[in-house]
Amino acid sequence: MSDEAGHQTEETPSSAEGSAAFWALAAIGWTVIGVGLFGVFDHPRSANAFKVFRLLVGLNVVNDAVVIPTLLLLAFLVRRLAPNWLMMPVQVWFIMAGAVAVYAYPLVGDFGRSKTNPSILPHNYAHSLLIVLGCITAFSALVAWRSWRRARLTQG
Amino acid sequence: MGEEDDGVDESGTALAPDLQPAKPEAVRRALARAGHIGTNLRASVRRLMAALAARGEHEVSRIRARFHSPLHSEWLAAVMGITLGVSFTVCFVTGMVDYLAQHSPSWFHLPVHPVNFFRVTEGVHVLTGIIAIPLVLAKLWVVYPNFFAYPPVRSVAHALERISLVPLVGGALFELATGIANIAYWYSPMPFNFTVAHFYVAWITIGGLIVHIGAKLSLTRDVVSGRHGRAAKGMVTNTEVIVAAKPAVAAGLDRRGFLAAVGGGAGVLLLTVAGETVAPLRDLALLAPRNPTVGPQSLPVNKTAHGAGVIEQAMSADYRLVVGGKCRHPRSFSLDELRSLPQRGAGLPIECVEGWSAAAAWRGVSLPMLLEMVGAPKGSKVMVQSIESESQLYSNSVIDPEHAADPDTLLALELNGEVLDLDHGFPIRLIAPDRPGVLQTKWLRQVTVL
Repeated sequence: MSDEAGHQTEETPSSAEGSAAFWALAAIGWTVIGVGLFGVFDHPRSANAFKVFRLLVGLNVVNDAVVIPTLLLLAFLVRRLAPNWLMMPVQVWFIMAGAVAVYAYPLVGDFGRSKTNPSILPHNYAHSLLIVLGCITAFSALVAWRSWRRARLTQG
Repeated sequence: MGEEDDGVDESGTALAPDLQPAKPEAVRRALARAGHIGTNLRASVRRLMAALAARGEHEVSRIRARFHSPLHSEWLAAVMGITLGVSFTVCFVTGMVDYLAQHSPSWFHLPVHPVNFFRVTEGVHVLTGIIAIPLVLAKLWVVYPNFFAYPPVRSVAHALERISLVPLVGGALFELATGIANIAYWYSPMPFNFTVAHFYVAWITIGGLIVHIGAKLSLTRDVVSGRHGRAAKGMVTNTEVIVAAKPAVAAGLDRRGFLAAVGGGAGVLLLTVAGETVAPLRDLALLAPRNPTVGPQSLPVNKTAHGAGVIEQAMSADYRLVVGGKCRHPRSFSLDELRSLPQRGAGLPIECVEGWSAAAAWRGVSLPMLLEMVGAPKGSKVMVQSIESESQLYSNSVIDPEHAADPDTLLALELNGEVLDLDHGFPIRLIAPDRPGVLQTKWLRQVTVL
C-alpha cells in the first residue's frame, strides 16, 4: 500500500468484516433494525411508515448529495482565498457556528411560537443567536490573532 | 438439443448412416458463425466490463485523492465513532425510559423515589441529543470519502455493513431533526406521531450502529489501544478512508484541533440550552426553548386552558370531582369540600418530554388519604380523567399502585402559595413524584379506582 507520492506505508489493521464478532453483531444489529421497522409498520396511523421512511432516506440523500458537497466547495474556496494563518480560525468558526445555527434554525424561524401560550419559546431567538455567534466570532478572532502572530514569527 | 443427438431415434437407437437426415451446409455454417459471434461477444463484454472497472477504479481513486486533508483520517473517524457510540447509547437508553414512562406497559413503571429520576433521564436524553448535532455532522464530514470506496461492495459482509449505513446515517439524521423540531414545537414537518416515529426510528438507528460497530471493531480497538496510532497518524490509506496528507495543507486544523472545535460547538450548545432544566445555568440559556420561570405562577405550561377548551367547565360554579370505581363509598366533592379536607404540601418537579423541568411547591389533597376516605382497597390502581374531551391525547392517565399509595401524590389545589392558575389545571390537578408532565393530568373531573 502506498500514499499519493508512492511511498510505502504501513498496512492498516485488518477489517473486522467476516469475523465471528462481525457476524454476531450483524445478526443482533439487523434484528434490532427489524424491531424498529416492525414498530413503524405496526402503527399505521400514528407512525405513517411511508412518510417516516421518506424523511429518513431524504435526509440521507440531502446530506450526501447537498450538504457535504456544499461544505466541501466552501472548504475549497476558503483554502483558495484565505491566507494560511486564517485557515484555522475560519474552520473553528464554521464548525462551532454551524452547529449552533443548525440547532437554532427552528427557534429563530419561530415556527412553533404560540400566540396563546407565552411560556413556549419565550426568548427573541434571532437576538440570542446573534449574541452566541458574536461570542464564537470573538473566540475565533482570538485564534486568528494567535495564528497570525505565530505566522509572523515563523516568517521573521 | 445438441448436434450429437442427430441420428438417434426416439427410443435412443442409432439410425443407419443412410437414414440420418442430411443437415444443409448453409445451416452448419450459420450455426458455426453464430457460435463464433457468441464467443466474440462474451469476450467483448468481458473486456468492456474490465475496462469500465479499471476506469471506475481510476476515477474513484482520482476523486478520493482529492480528500487530502488530515481531517479525513481513520484515527479521527474512530475517535468520533467512539464518542458518537457513547452519546447514542446514552440517548437511546434514556429515551427508552422516557418512552416507557409515557406509554407504560403493564410490566414497567417509574420508581416513586428519587423524585427527580425522570427529570434527570429526560434532561440527559434531550441534552445528549443536542450535543450530538455537531458530533454527527463532524463524523459525516470525516468519513465522506468512504462514499467513493472502491469496489463499492467486495463481499457479502461488506454489503451488509454498507447497507446498514442507510438506517444508521438516515436514522441518526432523522432522530436529530425530529428531536430538534419537537423541542421547538415545530410539528408541521412531521406528518406522523412524533413520539411513535422517534421511538421506533431510534431502534433502527441503534441497529445500524451495532452492525457498524461489528465492522469497525478491530480498527476501533487498535485506535483505543494506541496500536493504530503510528500507522494512522502517519497518513495511511486503505480501502475505506483515504488519507494522504500533504505538508502544504497543514495550515488548518489538525485532528486534535478539529476535535476541540467540535467539542467547543457541543459545549456552546450545552451551555446555552441546559439552563431549561439545570437551574444554575438558567442565565446562560439563550437558546433554550423554555425558561422554567416564565409562565403563569412562574412555571411554564404546555397546554393552556384555552387550547384545551376547558375554560367554561373549569370555571363552573357547579364543578364537582367524582371519586368512584371499585370502592365502598363512592362520592363527589365540591371545590369547597376539597379545600376543607386536610391539605398536604410537597416540593415536586414538573418535567416535560421536551426536556425542560422546574421544581415547584404544591399543596392539595393527598391521593392515598382520599382513596382511604372512599374505601378503596389498598394497592389499587387509579385512573384520573380531565374535563378535556376524551378524544384529546393524555386527557386521562393511570396511576400505578406505588404512586397511588405515596402521600406526596396530590390532587393539587395550590401552586407556589397561590390558588392554582387556570392554565395549570384549576380547579384541581394531579401532581405526583417522578412522572412525565403529560401524565400529570390537569382540570380533573373524575378519579376512578380500578
